[in-house]
Amino acid sequence: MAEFFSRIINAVAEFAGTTGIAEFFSDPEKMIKTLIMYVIIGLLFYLAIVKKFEPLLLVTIAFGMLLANLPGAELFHMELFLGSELDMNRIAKEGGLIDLLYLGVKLGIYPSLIFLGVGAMTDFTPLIANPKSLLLGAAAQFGVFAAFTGALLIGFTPEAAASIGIIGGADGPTAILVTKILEPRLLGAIAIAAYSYMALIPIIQPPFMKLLTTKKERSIVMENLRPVSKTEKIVFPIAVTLVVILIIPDAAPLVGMLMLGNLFNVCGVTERLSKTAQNGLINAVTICLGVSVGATADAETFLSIPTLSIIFLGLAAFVLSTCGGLLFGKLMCLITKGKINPLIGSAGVSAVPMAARVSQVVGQKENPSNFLLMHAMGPNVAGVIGSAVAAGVFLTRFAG
Amino acid sequence: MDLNITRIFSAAQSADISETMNNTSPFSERILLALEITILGLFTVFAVLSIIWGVLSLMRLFMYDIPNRRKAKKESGDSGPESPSVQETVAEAGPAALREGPDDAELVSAITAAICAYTGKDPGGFRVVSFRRKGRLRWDRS
Repeated sequence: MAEFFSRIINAVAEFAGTTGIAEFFSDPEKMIKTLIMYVIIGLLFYLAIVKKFEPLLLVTIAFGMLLANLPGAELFHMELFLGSELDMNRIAKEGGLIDLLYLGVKLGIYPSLIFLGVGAMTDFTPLIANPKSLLLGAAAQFGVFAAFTGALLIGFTPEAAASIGIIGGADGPTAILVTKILEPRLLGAIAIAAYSYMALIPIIQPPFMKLLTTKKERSIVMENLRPVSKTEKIVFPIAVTLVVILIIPDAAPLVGMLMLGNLFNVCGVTERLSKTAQNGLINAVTICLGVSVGATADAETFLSIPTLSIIFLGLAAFVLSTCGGLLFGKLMCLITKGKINPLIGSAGVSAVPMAARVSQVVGQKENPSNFLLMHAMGPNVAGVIGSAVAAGVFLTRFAG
Repeated sequence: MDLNITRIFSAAQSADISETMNNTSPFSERILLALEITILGLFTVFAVLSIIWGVLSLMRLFMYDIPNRRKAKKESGDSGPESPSVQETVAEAGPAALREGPDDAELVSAITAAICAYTGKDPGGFRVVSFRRKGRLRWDRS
């Protein structure tokens, strides 16, 4: 009998030793790091669920992080994806669910499919009606290159610096695509920084918008936009695809898919494809992308000096991009003798449509009858194209 | 099926994230690289978006301005007997041609209805060919 009980106790002890709880307490240093990760995960859930900031992505990324930081679960194996070769047989044999989902990130499928959906949802009419706003989208890429410089100077490799710089483009899929090609080890930190700052745009941008503009400038009422013909709407995605990809072939996956999605939406004969790209497809891809990117952020790799530097540089990139757009907006205001409200410049960071909404809110605070939203949508969608071009420059230079 | 697809990715060999901060090149070289990429990058972004601006301007000319000018000419030639007071109002509205698109169709309907209500005339007696906002609306000034 005693022997039987001893066996039962041994079995229970053996089982207890295999649980995540045992592993959690086995290494005090790892335990503290894991607890810090839970605090960060809690903060992301708070931002997404309570504050409703970018909830579709932050909820899935935060849950992916939770899965990656459950002791003993070992759902993701970064080592399968590092090195100069990708062994699909090994991934299929040794990989689990998250490893297989991560293939979509590694092969650059998810960011491009998300861009397909974004293109189908985006209305480029304000940009076509007021093409001057393209320059604001270009100026707002200043933060990308400033953050790249900062990262390079504090000791990051050029590939890592380019991945960090692209956070300033305020475009999650672009940041993910560049990072997975240039420096996949930073993917978790960069994706989380990019999406968190995109979510915090209503908090980050307004102080700088007020600091860099006068009350008079913020009150400027812009002329109504001209209507855009259907032919222009249809030719636009085809023309942009040709121009951008002929100059920067590396931007093809992003710009090509963005414009294809837009063509589905405007051509009038592919309504079903447009609806699928805008709803089912983008939702499914968002789940796969969010979970697999979040799962790359385990405590061991995430809590490090490079991650802290990325969080700081990412914020600097966002702020400098905002300032770049605003200052160029002021210049355009000066040149056009007060016809352009500089507040729409801050919308040049892509983050569609959040950045445009911020321009509208700040402008309306000064002049309640002012409606800047449609004017700000021009630089906003120009920023999407601008950040894809900036990404193309980095890929052309560093992807070798 | 052979799944052993070999692809070339980055040269990263270990999962150690701290290796990404191991830039051993001299500081001056890093500054030069940063300047090179910043100038090249900003120039490329501005150049590409400026070219798109040029393309959009051409699109406006050939797909919006010229067709609308033709349309306006044709419509002014075709226009039948119109109420003189309404014609005067239309002429005062300026050269902006009637534009296509669902928003304008709605606006034209609203303007037509407003003119009918104001003048008491039948909507068949005149046609809105162009319109332009005159000054700020009263509720804007409040």
